[in-house]
Amino acid sequence: MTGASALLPALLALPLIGAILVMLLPKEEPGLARGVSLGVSIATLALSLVILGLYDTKIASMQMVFDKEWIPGLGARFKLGIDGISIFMVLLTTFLMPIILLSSYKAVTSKVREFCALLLILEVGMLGAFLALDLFLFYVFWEIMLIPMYLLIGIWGGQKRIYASIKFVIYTMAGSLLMLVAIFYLYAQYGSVTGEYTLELSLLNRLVLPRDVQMYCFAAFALAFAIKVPLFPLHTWLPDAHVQAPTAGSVVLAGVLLKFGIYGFLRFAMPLFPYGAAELAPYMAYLAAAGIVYGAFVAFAQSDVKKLVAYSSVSHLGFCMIGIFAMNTQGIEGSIYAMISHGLTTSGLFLAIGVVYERRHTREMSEYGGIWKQMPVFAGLFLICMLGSVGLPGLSGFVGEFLTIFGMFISGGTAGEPSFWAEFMPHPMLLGAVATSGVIFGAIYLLYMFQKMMFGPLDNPKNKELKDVSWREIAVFTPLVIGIFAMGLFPKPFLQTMDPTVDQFVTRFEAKLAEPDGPAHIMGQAAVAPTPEPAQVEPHAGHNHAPGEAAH
Amino acid sequence: MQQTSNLLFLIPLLPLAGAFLNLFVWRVLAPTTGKYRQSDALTHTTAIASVLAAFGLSCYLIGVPLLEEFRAWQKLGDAAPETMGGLHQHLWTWIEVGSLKINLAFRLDTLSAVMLLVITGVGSLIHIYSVGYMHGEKRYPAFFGYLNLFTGMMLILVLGDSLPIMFIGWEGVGLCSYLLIGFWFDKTENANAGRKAFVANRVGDFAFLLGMFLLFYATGSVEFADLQEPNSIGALKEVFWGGERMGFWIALLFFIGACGKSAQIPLYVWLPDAMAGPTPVSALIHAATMVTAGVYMVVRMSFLYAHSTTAMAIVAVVGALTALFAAIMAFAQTDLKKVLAYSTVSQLGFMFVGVGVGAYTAGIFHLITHAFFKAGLFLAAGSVMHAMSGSGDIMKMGGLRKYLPRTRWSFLIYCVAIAGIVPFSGFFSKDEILAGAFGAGAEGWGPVLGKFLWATLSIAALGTAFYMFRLYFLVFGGELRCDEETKAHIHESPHSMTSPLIILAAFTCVIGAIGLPHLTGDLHLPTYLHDWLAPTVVDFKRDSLLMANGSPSIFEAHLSNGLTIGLMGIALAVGLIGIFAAKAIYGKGPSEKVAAMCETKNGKAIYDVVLNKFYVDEFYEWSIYRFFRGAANVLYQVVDRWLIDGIFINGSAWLIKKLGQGFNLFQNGQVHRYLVALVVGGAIIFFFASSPTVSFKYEQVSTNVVEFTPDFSSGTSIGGGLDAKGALISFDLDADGEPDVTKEYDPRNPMKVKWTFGGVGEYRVNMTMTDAVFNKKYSVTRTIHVKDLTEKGGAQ
Repeated sequence: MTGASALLPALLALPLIGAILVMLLPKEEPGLARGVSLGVSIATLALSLVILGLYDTKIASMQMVFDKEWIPGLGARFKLGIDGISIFMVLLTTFLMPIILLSSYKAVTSKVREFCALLLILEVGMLGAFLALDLFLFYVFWEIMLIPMYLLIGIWGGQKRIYASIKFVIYTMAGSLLMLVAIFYLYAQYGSVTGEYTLELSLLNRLVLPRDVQMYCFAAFALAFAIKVPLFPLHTWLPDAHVQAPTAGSVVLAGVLLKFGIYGFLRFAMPLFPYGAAELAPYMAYLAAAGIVYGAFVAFAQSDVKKLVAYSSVSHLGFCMIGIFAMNTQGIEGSIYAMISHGLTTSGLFLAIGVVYERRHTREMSEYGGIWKQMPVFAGLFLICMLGSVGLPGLSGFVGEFLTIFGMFISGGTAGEPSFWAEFMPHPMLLGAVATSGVIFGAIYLLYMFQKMMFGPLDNPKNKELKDVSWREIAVFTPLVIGIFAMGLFPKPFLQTMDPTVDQFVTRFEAKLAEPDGPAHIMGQAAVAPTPEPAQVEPHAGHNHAPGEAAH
Repeated sequence: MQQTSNLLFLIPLLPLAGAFLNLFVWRVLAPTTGKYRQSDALTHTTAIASVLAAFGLSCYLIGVPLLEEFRAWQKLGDAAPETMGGLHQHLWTWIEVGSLKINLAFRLDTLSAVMLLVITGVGSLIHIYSVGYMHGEKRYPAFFGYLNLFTGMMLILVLGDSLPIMFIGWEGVGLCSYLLIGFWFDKTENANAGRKAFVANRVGDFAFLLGMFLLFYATGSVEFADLQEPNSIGALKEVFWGGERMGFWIALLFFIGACGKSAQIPLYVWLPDAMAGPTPVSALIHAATMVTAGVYMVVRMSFLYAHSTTAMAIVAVVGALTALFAAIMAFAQTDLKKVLAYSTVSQLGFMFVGVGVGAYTAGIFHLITHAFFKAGLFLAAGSVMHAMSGSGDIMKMGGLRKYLPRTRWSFLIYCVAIAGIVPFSGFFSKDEILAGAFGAGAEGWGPVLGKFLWATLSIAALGTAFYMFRLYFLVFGGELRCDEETKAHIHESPHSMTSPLIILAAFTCVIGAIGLPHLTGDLHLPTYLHDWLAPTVVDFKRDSLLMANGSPSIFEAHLSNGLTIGLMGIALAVGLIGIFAAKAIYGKGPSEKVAAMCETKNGKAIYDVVLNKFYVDEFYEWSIYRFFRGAANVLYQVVDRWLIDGIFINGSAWLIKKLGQGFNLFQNGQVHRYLVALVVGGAIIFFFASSPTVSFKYEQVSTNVVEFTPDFSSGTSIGGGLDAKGALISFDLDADGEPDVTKEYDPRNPMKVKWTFGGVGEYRVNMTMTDAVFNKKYSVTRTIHVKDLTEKGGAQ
């Protein structure tokens, strides 16, 4: 273990220590709690930038791996690592956290200390889940995230906050229970094949399960992650949670938490069960395409602006799902890119809604109108976030949408050379076309929202009192706006960083998919050769199993 | 042949920098407290200087390096390569993933050079005009900032060396159009118009994106240079779907994109509404530049269209129909700018016919002349409205020739040009399109398509001359019809507004010289534009790929000098007829005859249809907007709230809650209830326990001798073994109804009963158990088979 490997645990420790520190501060001084937590989150951001600096963009596999024995009886290890897929998720988390804390200065005035500490604990949970390389560790972090989020909605939320928070928790937990069963199954299978019990991801990735079992296991994982994405029709917790959550909660939710769905598919569900993923890919892609259109339509029906943006997430994350099931570099990198961009633009939209909500205490679009005149600077910031979300070329949203749809469109290969995925993904062009229609619908509902709020006559007397954004609020938006432009104009450095990892992901997926069917085995060590002649059956020492012994 | 130029990026960057300064830097540098506004002079100087600088740089790059290259290319004569690289600049790689590589690169070739001059040249004049027109506007910096942003985006569109870069500009101009149409957004109609424009454009962009994806699918590239390689062209000729070539589908998709941007049927509806924007915007964006981007794109992709005559036919027919219908719709409009808007739609239709029949040069030529006279018309209209206190109702104008001499004369020149009167520029460009249509013919086109296009366009041209002069006479002819208050304010516009009008009028007079008619022999005239564009657009006569592969057709069929001159005569006559008709009817103001005609039953019906623009907007309102609204509400209320959330999610929660409430009854803490449950439960268990299913097994031990064993193992067996102890078991083995053997049952030592039967055959055996506790009887009767054991054992 080199010195760099201490960086990742330090990244988790920093906000954790910060949270404890904040709780130790005197209750009467909310300003101190805000200051300390902001400082800690900025320090965490700085540390994550150091990690980015040390990250070698030419290496595909895990870097800065930290590996310690954790629960030896269970075979669970405290193993952390970072690669081209997780690095941007980590950066997105650390990038958004100071913004979230800064944005809540005025919005949260009760139990400030607890609020700040919970956000920092949430950061620990999210970073841990992105970095975990052990299934058990991941599951622990995955569930840890729920608690602060539950409290954030339940304590600082709106009127129906209890309903929304319980719905959020039960939805997510119900989804992840089947995943836990599948994890246990995997654990047992690996143990029975190799005689060694582990939950370490890199080892489990080498286990090839029988194809029918892969389908069940993939489905179990997919349910947990699809709820998180959220994939249509498992999305109904999202609008409730968003509407009831305080602005900070909405930003974390949209900015980071939703990304765990896609990340989970990429990190766990797809590499562990490639055949299951391949067989179920069309259905996932159909649902994703349906979700793009459905989310856009339903967003258009909203009168509550926060709900509108919440449904826009259903549509946007549909692009991400389409991208990963394109199973080519373009689609997957597009998907990751779209996730980061969504983290910036949608966070910006939620923050913008928070700005006007703090002033007017309503989210009904009909209450607004013509406020551009009153708040021109705010209008400009809001416009940029909105256009980024619409996917205007030159801003961040376009690159992700373009690449995901592009990836799906050519996922069956190009005219000359069909790809291995062509066999599994029927009608990729049709799916691509349906997804592309999202560019029309996206413009319709977002422009409608913008017009309702910013254009038209300034006829509501309450709006004539509105004050433009303060310097603090400008400071909240500035990094987002810079990010939106930078990612739109210079996507190459981002894509380059992901390239090796994503390439390797696709190659490994393809290789594991090509493994022969049969009882569970380690990759490249099929117990039974695919040919029927018994003379050629040569069981490998230590791994030979009669058919049916491994399969239940 | 390709030169690298390090200055190219400055052309779009300069206006973009102007926008950045006006929208951002000046505001930040200036104090932001109070009611401060940055000085107007700083704002418009920045804006105008940036566009003028871009214009100057364009002139330099086109006039020096590009012209040199062009001369060299021309000198080679027939030995010259088909295309000429022009100036190229690679800035950075924008996106690179797998096989997809998109460079942020610009190319200045002869085609983009033409566009560059139009955009920066006409653009500069419109910027200057805006100084006077927008005077006193509160959001002056925003206006100039958007205008600059638009110019920059338009330049990216034109200079982009690959489809995605073009798409950046393509969407960017759409955004600026949105912002500028809705510039006076406190009126809801204006904001709606902006949104409508953006959404209609996005429908086109949807097709543009799909076309781009399909092109990559077919050829593996999205760069213009790669796409023209023989390999790519070969891929485009493959049959893809529905029996049509790949090239056809791609061309069709791109044309839908062009329809959105260039307001062709069926996506034209946004353009008339877009007149809600300030007039300089209408002139720059909705007349001279942005709306012509679709035409430019088709010409840029001429290598693609050239390989699908079907796609070209669609382009031409849609263009012709648009030209005709828009001209008809312009008849009944009473708003100055609306007439001009329909006129623009109609003229764009002319350009599409030009490119659709393979007369690419003619299409671009008309684009250029139209940019001058239509921008001029809009600016003049702005000058008129400026004088009329902002009103654009032509029914309340008239007689303005006395008050606005400079505006009037330039307006007249533009009108003559658009009507197609020699020697004004519109005559030459329109004539070239008409001639191209007349001579066009291709495999699969049939003999009459070209003539049909020509006839349609001629009627549209007649209509154009008529409605333009109707407009002219209603505005400038006759007597003034406005109220006294407006009349008191009428004044000629300041020089900053009229000098651009005069410059544009001057160009309108002379610009036709770049595209004189194609005559041969002694009558041969120089055709500058045609020669200039030759190395960039597909030339059907010399394109080797077309010829070598059995080209789809020979467009640009050669017309004899006589025919060419004859067609010119017809076109001129048509224009004159239109003008004189308008003079006869509207020469002295609104015609009472027409008004009376519109009052008759049939006349009114027709008039209403035309006035309401064939009810197309209403159709869209119902079929698309209302549908979308309705579907959105249904999906939200029914599917999302009721079905998914109500039934599935909260329904399952409800079910679990109810189940929980049910189970709650068993643990409410009341001991007597527990006792009741205990007793009832015990009784139930007892009942089941005392109801064993009885049976017996038998085994044939030798011939005729069978051994029987009672069997309580199957069936309900709660406590079955327990109470069987002490039970009396009796067997009736001879079927006489009387027990033959009776024994007490002991589970630890299961009883066995042997019986000798009379021989091989079937016998009925009954076993009865008498329960020791309740004294209940359970009985079972079975048929047993006694077999000859020498053959087979009878064990069961």
